[in-house]
Amino acid sequence: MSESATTNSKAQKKQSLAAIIAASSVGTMIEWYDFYIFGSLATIIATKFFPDGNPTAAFLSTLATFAAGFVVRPFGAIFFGRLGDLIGRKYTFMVTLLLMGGATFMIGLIPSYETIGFLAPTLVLLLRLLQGLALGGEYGGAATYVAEHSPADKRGFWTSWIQITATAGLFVSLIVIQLTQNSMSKEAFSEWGWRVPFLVSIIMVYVSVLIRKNMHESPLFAKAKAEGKTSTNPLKESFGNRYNFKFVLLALLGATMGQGVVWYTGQFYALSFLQKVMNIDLQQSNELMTYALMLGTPFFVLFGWLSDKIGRKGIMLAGMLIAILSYRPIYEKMYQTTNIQNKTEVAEKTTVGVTRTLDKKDGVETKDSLIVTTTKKEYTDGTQYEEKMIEKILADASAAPVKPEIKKLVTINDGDKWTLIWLVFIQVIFVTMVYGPIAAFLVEMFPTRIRYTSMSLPYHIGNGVFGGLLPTIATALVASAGKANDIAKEVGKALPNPTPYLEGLWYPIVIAGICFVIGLLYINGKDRNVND
Amino acid sequence: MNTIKRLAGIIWLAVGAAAGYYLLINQAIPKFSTGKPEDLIPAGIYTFILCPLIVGSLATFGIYALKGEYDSKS
Repeated sequence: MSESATTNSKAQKKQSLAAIIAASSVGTMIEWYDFYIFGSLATIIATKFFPDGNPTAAFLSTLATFAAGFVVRPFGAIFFGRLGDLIGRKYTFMVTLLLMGGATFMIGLIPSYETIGFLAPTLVLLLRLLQGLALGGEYGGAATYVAEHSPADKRGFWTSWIQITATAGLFVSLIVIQLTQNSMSKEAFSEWGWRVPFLVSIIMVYVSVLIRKNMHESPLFAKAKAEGKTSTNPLKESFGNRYNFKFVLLALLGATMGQGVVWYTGQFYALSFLQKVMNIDLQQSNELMTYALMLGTPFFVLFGWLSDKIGRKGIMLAGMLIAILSYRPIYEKMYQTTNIQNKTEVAEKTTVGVTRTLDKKDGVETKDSLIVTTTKKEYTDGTQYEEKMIEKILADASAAPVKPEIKKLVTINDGDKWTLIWLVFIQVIFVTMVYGPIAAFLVEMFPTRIRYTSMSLPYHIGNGVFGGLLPTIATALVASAGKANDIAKEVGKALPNPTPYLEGLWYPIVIAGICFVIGLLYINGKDRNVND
Repeated sequence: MNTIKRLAGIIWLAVGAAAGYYLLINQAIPKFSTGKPEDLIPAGIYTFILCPLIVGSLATFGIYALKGEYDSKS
């Protein structure tokens, strides 16, 4: 061993493993925070940068949503993965942290569309792409760095702390947004306060850089470098070498693809289902999601630890299988819990109000009228239901009539709230089973010389592409089932989809099903070496 | 077990083809035909990114499996 490697090794001993994990995890959590605040503030960002009814802005907005999640993340994985295998893990994931923090901070500074026109959404799009690129590079670096510091028999336990960061980042983003909202009026938040969570990021990144600056290079990489065993062309070795490439494919199709859809179903589709399908009040749905995530988060560590004892493959595949079998019953139970058809109405508490106003376009009143009929109902179990029917009466009598818009809102009682927390919590447990051990699993699949590159790509395709697509495809499946029912109703036939709200679940079920079979058949669960 | 692994390669090839058909015929083409900008991007992503990615990875995996690349060493 060379002198530099020996010195490095001695210095590393001084650092406790816990400090290394903490420093890595905090940085990764901040990157997730940066990535999520854009999503959490999407509604307000849309009003500031992507004005309604403007086709170019709508185009840029859709591009920002799709490109950052699907396209750029895998590119970030390849770009930074290569860098990490060439120059080292520590410097590379420091760069991703700075890139993410800088992009997030800059989003908070961009003047609105009203001030600088199309330059505003264009800049937002570019910075969002940089965020996606940085995220693509960060995770693989952090997971590899921690895994390469961990003893082999505790690799699952220690890397599970990196696995917590995604959920923790989501939490912190919600908390910072909530604190900012609570500290000012609604108008102030809408005017400028929404920028605070973006600007705050720079402080978090600064602290994280200070912590990470004093960390040493991973011992396995430092050793490989000292021995001249690092790769000169990690991309070619990872994807051009048939022996390695078959493992990249196996990691994607037998692990991360299923893990990605299970993760997105439990953490994101569940929330979207509560809000859009069950029409639960926004604050209530966020609150019960927070409880479920909080209760479920420690299980990432539990399953990471357990994977050191009984193997990674069994836990991940069990998580996928239970999810596949139980998604439809869980979502049916969720739907029926707040279904007002199952409840008894308190008739005397029902109120109906009608208002008529002139419609507005770009803030200016038109000759068209808006009639809003608000119906409020209460049920014996304390559930409240509000339905708004918005009819647009056009001044031009010869124009085709506009279909009325109906908005529903359900405010649930305490009993139902805890039932839903429990049902979402079960899904979070599936997430922790598939996601808790996956960093250790991926690290063990590839040799040190190409690990960063090889593990980052399947991770980001599995999560970014297969997981990230879930909301789009699931919503399309629900819409097409509803459409088929409407057509059948019109011609007086039996409904082809008695439960159209469950149809979106076929996407995670099928993808996780394929992944389960591939994982079961082809993954060797006994190999726990780092495959050097 | 190795025989099952190899034969299952045919299934992965078929699943890849089915996924490609679904993405192009059921998702991308209807979206392209609306002509709306918000539909064109998902349609483009289905056609030029997802379809090659999913079909390509499943097909390559299927071929590797058929050739015995994933056979267990006894």
